[in-house]
Amino acid sequence: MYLFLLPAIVTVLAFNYRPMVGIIMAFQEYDIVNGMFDSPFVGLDNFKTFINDKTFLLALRNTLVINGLYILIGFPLPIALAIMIFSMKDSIFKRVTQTISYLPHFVSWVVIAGIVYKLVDVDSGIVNILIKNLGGTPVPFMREPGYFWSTITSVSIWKELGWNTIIYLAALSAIKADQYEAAKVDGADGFQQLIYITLPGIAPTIGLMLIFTMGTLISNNSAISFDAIYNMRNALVASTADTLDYYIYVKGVRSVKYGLSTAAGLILSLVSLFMVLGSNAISRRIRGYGAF
Amino acid sequence: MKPKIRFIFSTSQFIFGIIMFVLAAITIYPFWYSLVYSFSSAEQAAITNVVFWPVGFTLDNYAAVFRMQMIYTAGLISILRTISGVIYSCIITGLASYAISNRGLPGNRSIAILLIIPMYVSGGLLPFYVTIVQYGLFNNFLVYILPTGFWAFNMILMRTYFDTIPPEMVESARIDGASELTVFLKIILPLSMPIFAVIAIFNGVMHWNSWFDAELFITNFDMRPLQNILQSLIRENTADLVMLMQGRIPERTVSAETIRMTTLILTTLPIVFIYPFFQKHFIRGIMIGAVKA
Repeated sequence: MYLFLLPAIVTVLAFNYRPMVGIIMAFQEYDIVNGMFDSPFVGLDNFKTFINDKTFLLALRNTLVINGLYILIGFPLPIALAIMIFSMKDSIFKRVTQTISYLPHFVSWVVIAGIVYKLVDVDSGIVNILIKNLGGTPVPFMREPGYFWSTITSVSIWKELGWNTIIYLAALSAIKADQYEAAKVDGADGFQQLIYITLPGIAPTIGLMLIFTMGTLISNNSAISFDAIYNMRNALVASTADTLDYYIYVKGVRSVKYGLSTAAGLILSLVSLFMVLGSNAISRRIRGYGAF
Repeated sequence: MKPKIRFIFSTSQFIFGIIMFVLAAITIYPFWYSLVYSFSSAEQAAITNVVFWPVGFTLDNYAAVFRMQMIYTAGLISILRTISGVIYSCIITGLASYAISNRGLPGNRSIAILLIIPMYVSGGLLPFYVTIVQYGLFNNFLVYILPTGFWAFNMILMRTYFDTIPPEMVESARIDGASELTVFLKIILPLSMPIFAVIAIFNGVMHWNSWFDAELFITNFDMRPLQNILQSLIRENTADLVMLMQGRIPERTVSAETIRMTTLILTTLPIVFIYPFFQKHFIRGIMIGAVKA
């Protein structure tokens, strides 16, 4: 029986726990020749360096703004859509639109970014052609830093909107039908039923989802991922596009500042662990139980 | 009378219908646009706008893409990593979940915790990078398969499913002298096909869409998957792209733009093709996950 567990244990030890040992690089002036165990220790120097680094502060701001925007706008929309889908009579139309709405979730960010770049191109993109035909001036979406936040937020919402309805649809279908029947007998109209039955019925799910989404505000698995940023950014919009995990990637892999990158990564990991545990604690307090 | 009474009357049905139609249109249009662009002649696309239908319909873009050797090698790498990755992680996850679901196993709980902790704690990107390099997995195909082989969330999903299998079935097989492996293969596996389908789908999509591991660890371009090829086509500026294909491009009907769109469509096509088949499975997967959460 233990043999069954062996491959999984070996995998996590080798690829999850072994790298954790590498966190000591955060306190070293790492050099490749000496390796992880013989590089000189420099205390907290790496932490001091990035705290004073202007690009780090920009990255922190971008992370907060982009994920904040996403939560603010992207969180309520799936709830509204789920209620709409649920209240519609079953039909081929409903099933087809629902199926379509899940599709972008499964398409890679590489592909999405390729399409977006083409669609919002200043000269030939269909979005700008539409703007021109409506009498506006073309907008350089991917060329000026000022537009990046709204672009990445809209595209991310577009990509995940349908997918995020699934959990609410599950919650909606758990509401007992006789509640609606009773309300109807009492003469409640559609809106009243929405306010007094539907919303209270899915409130626990909404609360739980909100807490967990808030937990990803700063985290290494944020709502708007490294994958999204890496593919959507370009040098022109770097000042508003580059988030913390992008900073960690660039410092470590491109500029070979292992110590600095590990230090920043450690802070990000600690903050995201804290956020997850914190949101779990809040959920436990409010709902009586957490995810673990 | 409909059996289920909903809170909405028919005018709102109509409005919701329109909203959903618009949303579905917005969702599908970018893909449709890319598709018709890939069938458009570059020359025509430069002077008229591609909107709903190809302009100057042509198959030259596909012909040009299929003349690029790297499309075949990259496609093969993508397919190989997806298939082997899915099989590998289904085996590891299945075995581990079965053992963990056996509540009588001493140390069961500690091992589960050991396996679950990495869901919440990680060493970060750089330590992972250095570790992989130390293992000698740089420019090695195994770097696609091994690190992603096990993810505790999948184990939790699977264990939740295994718990619904009547324990008497397992017990009686054990009494008949079946080994644990036989129990797993002959009883658990056939009964758990739906959950294996869920895990396989999520894993398969993840593998097909991955590019970052190749970006980090594979410098040999013949070993990079389709997503990375597409990524470099999108990122390279137009002049480079034309250089790359110099002499292989039929005049006028093919451009950097149409090549990008064509490769993009080819990269997405496998997902779209198998999508109708796996739709019902992923919803089930989410439901199991939701119950657990």
